[in-house]
Amino acid sequence: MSYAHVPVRLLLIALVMLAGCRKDPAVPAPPVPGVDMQTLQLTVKPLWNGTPFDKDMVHAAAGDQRIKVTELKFYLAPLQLIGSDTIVELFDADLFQVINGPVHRTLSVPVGDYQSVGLGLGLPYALNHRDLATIPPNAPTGNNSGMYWSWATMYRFVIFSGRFDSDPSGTDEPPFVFDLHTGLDTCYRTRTVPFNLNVTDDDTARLTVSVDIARFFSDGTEVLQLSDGAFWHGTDNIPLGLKVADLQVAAFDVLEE
Amino acid sequence: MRLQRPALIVSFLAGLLLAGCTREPAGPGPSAPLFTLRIPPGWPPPPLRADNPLTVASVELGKALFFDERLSLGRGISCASCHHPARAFSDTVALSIGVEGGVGARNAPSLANVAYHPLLLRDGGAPTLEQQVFIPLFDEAEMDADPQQVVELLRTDPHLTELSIRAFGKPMDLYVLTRSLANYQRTLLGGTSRYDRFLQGDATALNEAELRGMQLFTGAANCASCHVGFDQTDHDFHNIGTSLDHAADPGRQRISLDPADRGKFKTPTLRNIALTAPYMHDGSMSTLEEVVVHFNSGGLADPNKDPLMVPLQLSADQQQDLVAFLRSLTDERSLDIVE
Repeated sequence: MSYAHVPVRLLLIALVMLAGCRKDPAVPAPPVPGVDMQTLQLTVKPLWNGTPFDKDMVHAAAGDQRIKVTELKFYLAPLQLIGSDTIVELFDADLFQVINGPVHRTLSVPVGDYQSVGLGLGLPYALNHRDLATIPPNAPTGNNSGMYWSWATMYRFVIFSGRFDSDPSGTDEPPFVFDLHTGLDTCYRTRTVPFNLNVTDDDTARLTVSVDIARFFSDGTEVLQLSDGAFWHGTDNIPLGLKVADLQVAAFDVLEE
Repeated sequence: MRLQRPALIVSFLAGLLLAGCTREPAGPGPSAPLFTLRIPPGWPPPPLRADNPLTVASVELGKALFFDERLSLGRGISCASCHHPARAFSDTVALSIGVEGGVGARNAPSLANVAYHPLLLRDGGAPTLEQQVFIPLFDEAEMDADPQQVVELLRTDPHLTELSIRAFGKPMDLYVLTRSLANYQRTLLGGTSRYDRFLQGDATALNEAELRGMQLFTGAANCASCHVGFDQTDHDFHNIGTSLDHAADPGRQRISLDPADRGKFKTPTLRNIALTAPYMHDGSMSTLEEVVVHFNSGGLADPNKDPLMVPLQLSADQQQDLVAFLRSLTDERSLDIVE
């Protein structure tokens, strides 16, 4: 009986097993033997009414509000490319802080045609309930993320903070503070955005996910009027938290760039 | 049948690689001595965690950490600051005082028998004792400390490092910190009260008033509908009509977001209840007499109030008997048996 084939098989098995034991959930899956992989440059880009977001500006928002944003951090979990017969998970969870502008990631993706992008805003149940002590501190869901909501032993999904003014004619720094932290399983939201992406052997693929912060304040129907509630930390005014979660996930798009 | 040399080499390398990629840190070896719990007669053994064996070393480390003010980064607050051993590991004030005078949001509960609790905190927000450790660490009104900074501070202590390596095979980290503190708390078992002696056959352990109170407890006063079993709790959540304003603390609703859970809090154990004043989730009742008066009244008309909360029509003597029985639930030996 010949075992000449054994080393190759063992090596493949070892590689497959190693692929399943990565510690950092943001690290993309390693290449799959026999599948052509291509680099994908992901950009997560903050906008305000379709134009690049500037944190130093006071923006006009729906409901005759003036808004200055001082912090925006959120989890995308997962981010997927969806083809006709396949779903590729680009990562299971990653944390994006976009207050200073676009954030970039270099990922790896199988060559192929994809028709839509799936995203989750926040953390799905399994990730939201992981024990912080078992996660490397610098991982997206680790202690140093600043997203752990200790009182709930879960995570904040989105931190959205700043100042606001309900007087649209004001010219000074908006006088009032807002601080909206969504979290808890009921605030987790998912979306699928139609988007054709052809990943070939020849060229680095590019994907731009945008978040239009102006749309946090209105989806054309609902208006988030901060004078009615400018703080949410999960403890009260449950309808406000759910409304914020709904508006925020609707503000994500995938851009042709 | 023998593998050829290349196959053996690849197998060996694969084994080495796999050995280095475990998510969970290596625990103590299988021969590590286990801590012997003092489980009261008739009580079941508490559920223990397979991923956190109750070793002697981990319990010793946990006890050392429980009384260590470095958990608040040296600002004077340890676990024992709000969970006093002499008070069945509860606090003497309605709301505990944390670092820099911060005032907690709820009354610190007793830690007696927490090993049996399926959910921790008065709202059940912590699923394990290990995860619960993070709550006071992070809380601005308690220790207000970044756990990672706490770990780095504790790592400078050679004694703790030695204990940590003995218990978990590695220096202090978040895993060691949470596992050891959880294990120490698992050892805090009661079951040595006069009531227990009575249950075990000592007919003289309770006096006449206490016996009458015990009958009321399981009978007309209906306490045992929720304060049931060896630990006198159903581990469920109830609104007992102590307040109509839940804006500051919606209780179980904080976790479930379900309006039907508004104002519900976990049924506490009544063991050592005479030691754990003040009472209720907010410490709003100072004495056991006040608590019994509340239950006798049926509580405030909260829309979520438990249907069992109805006026009891107990006489003044009966209320005194009930209090007498509650006082018989105090453990006669220390909950802490860790050397």
